[in-house]
Amino acid sequence: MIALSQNLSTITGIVKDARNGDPLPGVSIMVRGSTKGTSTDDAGRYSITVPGNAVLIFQSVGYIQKQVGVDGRSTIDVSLTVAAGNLGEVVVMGYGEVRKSDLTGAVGQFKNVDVAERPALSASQMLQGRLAGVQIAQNSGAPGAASTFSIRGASTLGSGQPLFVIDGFPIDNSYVNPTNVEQGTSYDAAAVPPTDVLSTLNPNEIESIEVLKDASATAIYGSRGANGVVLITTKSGKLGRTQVEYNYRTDFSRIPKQIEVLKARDFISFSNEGSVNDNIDSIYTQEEIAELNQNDWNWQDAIYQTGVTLDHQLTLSGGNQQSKYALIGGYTKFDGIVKNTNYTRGSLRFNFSRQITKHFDIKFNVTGSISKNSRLPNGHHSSIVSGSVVGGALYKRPFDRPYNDKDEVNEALVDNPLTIVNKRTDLLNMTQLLPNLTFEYKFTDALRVRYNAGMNWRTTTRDMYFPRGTNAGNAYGGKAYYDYGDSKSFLSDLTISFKKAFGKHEKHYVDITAGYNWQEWTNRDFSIAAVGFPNDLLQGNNLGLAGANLGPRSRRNKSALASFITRAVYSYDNRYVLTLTGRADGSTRLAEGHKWASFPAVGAAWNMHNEHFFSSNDLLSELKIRGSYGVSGRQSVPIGASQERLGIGLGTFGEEWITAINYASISNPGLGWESTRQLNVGLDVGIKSRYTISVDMYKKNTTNLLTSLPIAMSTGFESYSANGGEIENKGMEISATAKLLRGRFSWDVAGNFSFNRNKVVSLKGSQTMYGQSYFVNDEINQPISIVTPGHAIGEFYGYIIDGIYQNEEEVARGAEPTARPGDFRFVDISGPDGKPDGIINSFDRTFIGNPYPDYTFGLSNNFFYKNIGLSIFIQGNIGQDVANLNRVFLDALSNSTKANVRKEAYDNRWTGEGTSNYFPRSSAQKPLYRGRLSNFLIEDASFIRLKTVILSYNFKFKRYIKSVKVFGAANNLLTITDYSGYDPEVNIYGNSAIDQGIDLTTMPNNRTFSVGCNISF
Amino acid sequence: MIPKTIVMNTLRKWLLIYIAVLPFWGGCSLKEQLLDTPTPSNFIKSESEVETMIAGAFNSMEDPVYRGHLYRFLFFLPDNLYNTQYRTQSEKINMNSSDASAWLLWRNFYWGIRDVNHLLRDMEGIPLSDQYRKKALGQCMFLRGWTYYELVRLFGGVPLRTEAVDLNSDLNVPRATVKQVYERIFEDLKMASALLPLKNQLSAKDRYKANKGAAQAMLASAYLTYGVEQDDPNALDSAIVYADSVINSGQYKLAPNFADLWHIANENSPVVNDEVIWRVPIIGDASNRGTALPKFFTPSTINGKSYNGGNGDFRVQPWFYDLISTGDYEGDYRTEVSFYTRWTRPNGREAVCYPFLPLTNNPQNLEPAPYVAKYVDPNGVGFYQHGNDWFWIRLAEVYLIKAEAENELHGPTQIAYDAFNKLRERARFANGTARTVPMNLAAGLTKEEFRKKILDERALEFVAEGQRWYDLKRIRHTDGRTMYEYMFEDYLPSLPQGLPTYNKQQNKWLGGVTYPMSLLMDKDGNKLPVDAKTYLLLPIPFEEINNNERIGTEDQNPGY
Repeated sequence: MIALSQNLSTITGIVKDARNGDPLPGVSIMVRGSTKGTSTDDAGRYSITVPGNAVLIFQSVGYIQKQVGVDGRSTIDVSLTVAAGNLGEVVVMGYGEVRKSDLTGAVGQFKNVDVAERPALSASQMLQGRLAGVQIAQNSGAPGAASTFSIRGASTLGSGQPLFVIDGFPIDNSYVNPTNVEQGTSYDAAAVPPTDVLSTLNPNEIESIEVLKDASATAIYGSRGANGVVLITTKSGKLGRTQVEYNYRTDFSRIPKQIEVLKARDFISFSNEGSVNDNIDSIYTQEEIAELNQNDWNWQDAIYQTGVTLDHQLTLSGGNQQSKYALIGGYTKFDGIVKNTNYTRGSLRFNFSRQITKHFDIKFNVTGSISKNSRLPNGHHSSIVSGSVVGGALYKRPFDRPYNDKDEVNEALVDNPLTIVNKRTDLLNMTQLLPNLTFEYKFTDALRVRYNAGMNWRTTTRDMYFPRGTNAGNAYGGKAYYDYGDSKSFLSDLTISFKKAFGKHEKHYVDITAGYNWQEWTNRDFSIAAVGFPNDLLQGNNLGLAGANLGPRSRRNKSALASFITRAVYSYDNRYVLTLTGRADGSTRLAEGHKWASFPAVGAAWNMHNEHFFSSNDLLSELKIRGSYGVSGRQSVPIGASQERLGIGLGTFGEEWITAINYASISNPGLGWESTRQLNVGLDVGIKSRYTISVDMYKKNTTNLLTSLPIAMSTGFESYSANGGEIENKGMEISATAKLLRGRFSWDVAGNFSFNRNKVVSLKGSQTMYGQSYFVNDEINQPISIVTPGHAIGEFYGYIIDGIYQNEEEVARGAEPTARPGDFRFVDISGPDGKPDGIINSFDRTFIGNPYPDYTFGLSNNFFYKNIGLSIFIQGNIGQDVANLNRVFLDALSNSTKANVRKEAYDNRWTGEGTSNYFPRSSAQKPLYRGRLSNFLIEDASFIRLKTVILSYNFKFKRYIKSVKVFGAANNLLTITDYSGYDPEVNIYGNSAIDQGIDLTTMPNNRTFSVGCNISF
Repeated sequence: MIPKTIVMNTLRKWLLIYIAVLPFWGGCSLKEQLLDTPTPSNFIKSESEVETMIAGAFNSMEDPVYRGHLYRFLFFLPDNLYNTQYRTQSEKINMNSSDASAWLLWRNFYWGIRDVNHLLRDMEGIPLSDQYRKKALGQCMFLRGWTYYELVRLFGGVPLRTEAVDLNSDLNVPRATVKQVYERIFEDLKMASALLPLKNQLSAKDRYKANKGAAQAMLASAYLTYGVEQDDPNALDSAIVYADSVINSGQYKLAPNFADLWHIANENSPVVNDEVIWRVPIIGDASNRGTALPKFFTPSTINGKSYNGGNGDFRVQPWFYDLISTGDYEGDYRTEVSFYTRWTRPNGREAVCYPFLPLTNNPQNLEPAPYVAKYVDPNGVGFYQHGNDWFWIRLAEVYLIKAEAENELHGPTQIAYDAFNKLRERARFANGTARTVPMNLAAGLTKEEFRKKILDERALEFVAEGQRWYDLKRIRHTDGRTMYEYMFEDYLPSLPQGLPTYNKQQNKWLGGVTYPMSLLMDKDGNKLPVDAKTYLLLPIPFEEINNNERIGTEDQNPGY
């Protein structure tokens, strides 16, 4: 009451780090003797209204607390000093945090600032290019499409996705594309790229991301750590009055460019020329040509659009010393660049923590989201045109009519892209609920027990409909597919931690964490495909209309993982650090006797800058050498993989279907985990606290690869789950930051550079594995990706074309007597005896490309001048190859009566001796390239792109509204590349370890322009 | 001494933690439970499960082998049909070791063998009645013998597997010799024949399951193929023995009217059941797991044979139609039944195929080749929605097997003539209004002449039943080459090439009678570097060569 009567004044100021003058975000500011408080924002600024005689207490983890009397001042700037025995920042590690100075492993940190300004739909997109050694490929531009993570290279033949841990809860970021029954003949099942679980998480909920890369860091996640671990920390409430923030953004997305194909006039010439070249009469007569020329469609215009995205984010947060909370609601609606593709997500998070007694804390985080994804098929490996909307738009002839005489979509044109866009549906709905409750009991400041229980519950539904006018729709009279999946994961973690400095001058410091945890998963799934609908009116909404169904299917499974974990850090005088980490994992998925495995790691670090002989050195603020060695694993063994299982199908001995059961698998009672041994050496240098540079070098060997090992088909099985083979990844990562300018105009630069060399050292059994075969229905039926020792996983493998046969004489000298001038000239590389044999056959295949980049980099520049901010982010992947399988049709100039081709190929085609040594003659034949995949399809897809540019202006207000920031942003503004397809960043089979870097009528990544504002109250 | 309160407080704290943890601690067993997947050890307990396993083994082979993938070869490879989708013969069988259909056949047949071998293992330890065990064993043996017979004819010597495979087995087995494979076939089928009941002893439910007659008919076929190919008189003797067992079993008789065999409505009628000894039953429904045969053969302008017209993908070679409609076969009822040559299109126009001439001056549609008319399913809407069963062996064939084996052994004896003429007799019966043609084969033929008669008789009787390629491969030309080589190397190139065209002035069909050009020529008539011998066998799939350490590229069939 007395306080109220006093004069209140508003104090503002900035809190900095005493060492380098950096603003300190998240510093709590309390008024002594009251519960009033606030905290600093990202720029270290704060504002608090207090009595003129108040005393402010500034505190932040790792810093010495500071008390400052107001004494009537209105501006109070404070510098905090790092606490003794405590070198500032802590780093979130699995099952707790460690002091940054005690870090012995390689950990990449990403602070999520300005998230609302970036048109990132998911955390993956947000992280892209930001961290050294973390390569994230946006597989396609389809809304909601999954990203593929690769942390320090591909180290497995299975899924290379890292483990994601959200606030301590490990989630499996599996690809989601439920299919439980046959969708159709392979010809119809154009692939719809999967989405990933991470897409359900609103990126605005994220406070920071830590990526654990080396064994010292990942070993605590044991059997799930080998591909790296991504720790996601969500926003929590900060001290002070309720802060309200509203962000709004709208994006306009476009296809980066159109691929120029032939217009009707040229296409007709091409068709006629191709036929004549093959000694067939011209297809079109003069009258027909005149008529066909009336129709000249740009099919790409017919399917592509400017997609408009709306993004609304509302954040409420606040707290006092007892309770803190953050409430974050988000709504995003993203329209894709292809009509009728979109992604909508609504999400809500509530993070709450409360100190119940001096010793007892609870924390409750819950997040839920609902997403709806409307998708359309991309290409499918069996046939390039099979119902792909992008393929249809590229290959449909310019005079094919999208609409009939009644101006309705022309369903008579099979796989009319407009039929697909308008009537083919593929809806994926996901609901995700993740509550997580933590109790912490502090026996003393040093000894704490923490118990964490949580659940992750996800339901998915997939609704598909193939209308008439698509291949499957025509064959079945409409075909619907429905799938419902429900998966739950429960977690129970108990950890005890002990952190204490002791000895004389407290020079010895130990930080020990130990625990037991149990996680279990239950999944179920039900699906049905129904066919034979009277018409397409209700699509698949009422399966009762169907004439028949292809049998309901259901799946139900359960698995569990039990683990003991421990991590011990010992540091002496902040100079020498030793970390021992270990985890023992026991899994239901492995065979009896092989269920348990241990994953130990050791790390050491030397903080040289703390040595006495450096104490007088002002230049080096940090000089640290780190080293670690250890083992982590991968446990993605399919459930039941170690057992002999039976497969269920339908058969007949007469007039009705009966259950038919087969022997589906071979048991492997010795099945164990894949393990990755990793050696990491790192160096951290800080110069005058303004420049930092970190260098890490690593060598990672994955042995006992979990593979589906191919065996001779004559056994009756094609493969079995087995361990065997070895993959090596080695590489280097450099990250650097610089605060180039400080003051009114500030300029920060952060960059990263990494390279990784991937090599298969050995394989078990046969010495080669192949990826999937392409163009099964187009007379090629060949894989282009291979795994073989001495080469990177999934290198491209095929024939070599070294030019075009110019004349009969060259043909006569060549290896293919049936070739004709103007045909591709395949190179006779080898034969059964290892030398050229004058015949082109499978012996003439060789390595023709590598999908992995030689090196990657990211460079961000942030400029601030007064209230203006400019952020520029450049990303580059250099030396990667892409198998541009679109060229099979677009550039081969075959099949001239059926499919359109690229204008550049047509304009530069072979029309006689000396006219072209690259593009062939026109031909009406269908067997393209004589049924061979070749280097003609492999393109250097190196790129450097202006990934993100954000320009913002911050308006400050005194009353009601604190600030309004308006911004404009652009994504993928400019891409420098030689790649001839839509976009060099493409990876349609991202979920296959082997089939990487494939462009197959894939929806390209978007170019996006955004505007929006952030309002703080 | 620690004060008691501290002890109590500590205990209390731990108790709280324990209570919090307890609910999660309960299910900590790491034993794997498969909730939705049976395993052999927990599933196969009695007769009813064994039944589903036999259905599985059968299904492995049937689906989708006899629904489509086998056709590709049985219709593409021989000389009597052509496919309108392809411009050259070499294009239509552009085969290599990556051929998807060859791969699928190999894989599915070995699935069947796997299922049988594993089931034999798992049946041992479970209680079954002796009677049922005999029946089940017989089925297994039949399925395995049948599968190896298909494999050996398609691929030659293949790896032999007769036991369940696990990781202790040798996963790499080399190709056995053709002789070894046949020995296995004979042994399995003989055992099946000994164990299985007669067809008439099967209940209605089991009507289409393997039976003694099927095993014996298959034995006759296998012995004949082996005996002719390997010049083995003992095998030919056995072929006759088993053919006689079938003929004399009293279980089968020829359908009086040849036409009754081909409409789906008759499929389960006694007429068809009496003649068809072994068939692969096919269900045609919207689930697209039926056959496409009516769709493939029927012209697009005939409705009702397939729901709304066929696709007419496979057409009859003009020279072949000449062969089976002239000479002995002039006026043969089977020729009338088996082909579409003249019909009225939905638009009222008449369609007329080679070699027929337009009758009136009305506008007519002239087509250069007839269509196959066997296989009718008016309810088949989509491609794979027809239900026509695949007749694997009919009694008619057993007669011809007997005749052929007899001729090979002893020349054209009366026994051979009698067996042969059974088919002529049935053909003369026609649809009940008896005809005088085709006449019985007149005595006095040489062995070679009789052999050629058998080839031709089979060509007509079994057209589009998947027999022609096997016949051409088995039967020898007088110079010792297979008929397959002779036809493609000498006979077809000697014919006028291309399709016939109708000349109005002369009221005649002119031009070629074979299309596409011969297997060995490209569309311009140039000789291709392909060898007819290559197409005597399919390529061993690349995946087998790649993953079987004991089959290398040097073991590939010649020409691939």
